[in-house]
Amino acid sequence: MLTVNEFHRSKTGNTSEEYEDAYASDSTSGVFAVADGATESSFSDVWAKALVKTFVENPPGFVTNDRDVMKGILQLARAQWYSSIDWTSLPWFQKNKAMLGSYSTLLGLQIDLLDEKRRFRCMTIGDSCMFHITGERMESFPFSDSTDMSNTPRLMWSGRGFTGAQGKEVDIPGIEVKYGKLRVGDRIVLATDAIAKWMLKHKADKPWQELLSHGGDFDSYVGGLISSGQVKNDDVTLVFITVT
Amino acid sequence: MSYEAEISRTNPSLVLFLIDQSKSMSHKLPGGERSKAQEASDAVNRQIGEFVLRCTKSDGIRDYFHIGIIGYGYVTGKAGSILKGGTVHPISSLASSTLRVEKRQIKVADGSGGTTDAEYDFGVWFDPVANGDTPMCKALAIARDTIKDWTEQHSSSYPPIVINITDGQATDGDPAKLTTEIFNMKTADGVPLVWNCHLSSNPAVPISFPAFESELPDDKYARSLFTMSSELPSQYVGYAREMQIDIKDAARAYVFNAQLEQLVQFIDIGTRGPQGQMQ
Repeated sequence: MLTVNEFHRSKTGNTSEEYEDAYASDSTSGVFAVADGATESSFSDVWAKALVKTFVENPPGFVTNDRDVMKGILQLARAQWYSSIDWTSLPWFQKNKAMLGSYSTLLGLQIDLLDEKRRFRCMTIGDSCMFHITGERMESFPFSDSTDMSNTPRLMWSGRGFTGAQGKEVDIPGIEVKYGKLRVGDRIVLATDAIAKWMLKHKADKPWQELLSHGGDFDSYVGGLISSGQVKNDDVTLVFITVT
Repeated sequence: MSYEAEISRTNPSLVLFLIDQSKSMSHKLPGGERSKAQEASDAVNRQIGEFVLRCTKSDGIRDYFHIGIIGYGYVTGKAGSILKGGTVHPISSLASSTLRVEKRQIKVADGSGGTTDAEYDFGVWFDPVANGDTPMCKALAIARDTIKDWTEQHSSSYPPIVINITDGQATDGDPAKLTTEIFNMKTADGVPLVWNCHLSSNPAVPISFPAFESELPDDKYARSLFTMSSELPSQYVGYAREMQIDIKDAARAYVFNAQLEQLVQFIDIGTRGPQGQMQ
């Protein structure tokens, strides 16, 4: 069985409507996803939501090739993104921007709950991260160190926002994949880049314990980390999954 | 370090365009199909459209930039805001107050190695005018007063940027005195930047971003505009080098004898700094 706790907050100074990360989960099926919409593009929040929703609602089979999984997700999510936007009511400048398409990272995790060994597969494009905690030991994916994270992560693109472009395939950037097994008591943390970078910087100090100890007060705790400059001012999303 | 302030809705940046509207701006700009006035207005309208695009989010437009367009010479001896309703306008108010929106076509990458045609809306905020003399001092005086008010109200903002596009010598005095006054102002993040683009009427080789007076022709007017131009902060030197422009560390924000290509590059580089600092 899986116990799931989720936390998110908008970048300090922004409203909750301006939150551009997204997450979705189905603990019964063992499928989870987080995404970080790129603030440079518009409707990134819609795109990030479309990606996580598509991943969780269409859990890929374990035997399906990683690239084919992402190709399928991309196709469905693009259609959802395009149909979520009321193109006819957009003023000229919003239409110009939306036509450029939206960008987002995507991290999808699936756990095979029917399997005794609780196999998992985590696929990511970009800098959203997964942390696997067994006892006192933490493994991170796809980065092992905070210095590995760049300012220009790989991003999934919605394609251009006009009818003719929707039928055209777009390239899928490099996918990182990790397979593993989970034991009872293991924890998984899914995190978007700002808080993931902080966790990687403090990897020797069991950062998940610090986060869990502020479970009831995440907003002010993470807000404090941002105001003290320890965490970049950005949207923050954390999903804690515990195997019970 | 200067020119590193983050630009946000609470800490916006000011960009002032100064446009020469003298009679000689009706002459054709080498490298283009149209007059200097038409190419200049197209380039500035395109840049304002770029600011609008950058500031547009799903829920609307965020006021990261405040913009002014000051014309001079539209009537002999006159200078003033081309935009109605004051000199400085938040970008959101510009987005909703175009003169008109034109349909234009561009080739865009399709994401799988090819290109595709796309239609987009091109905002127009002002039309070209080429009529009178060159009262540049009057325009710079408006810029100075606007920057004075702005820096008092936005003391920690990214420093204001003035982009002056002209093809002639000031007919109302010495403009260098006014730019000196502008250089004496500052925000916590640095001194305002003044960029001068001299548009050519002949196909002589342009001189982009010279570092020393000795690089200029023996031309009093060129020397005057050179001294009126900011030394480029290192970030801007970097942007120019990214565009394969051969530029020295002490380069000035000045192009002499600019043709269409240099005009477009000039505006692009001159506005990259604040766009890179958007939060």
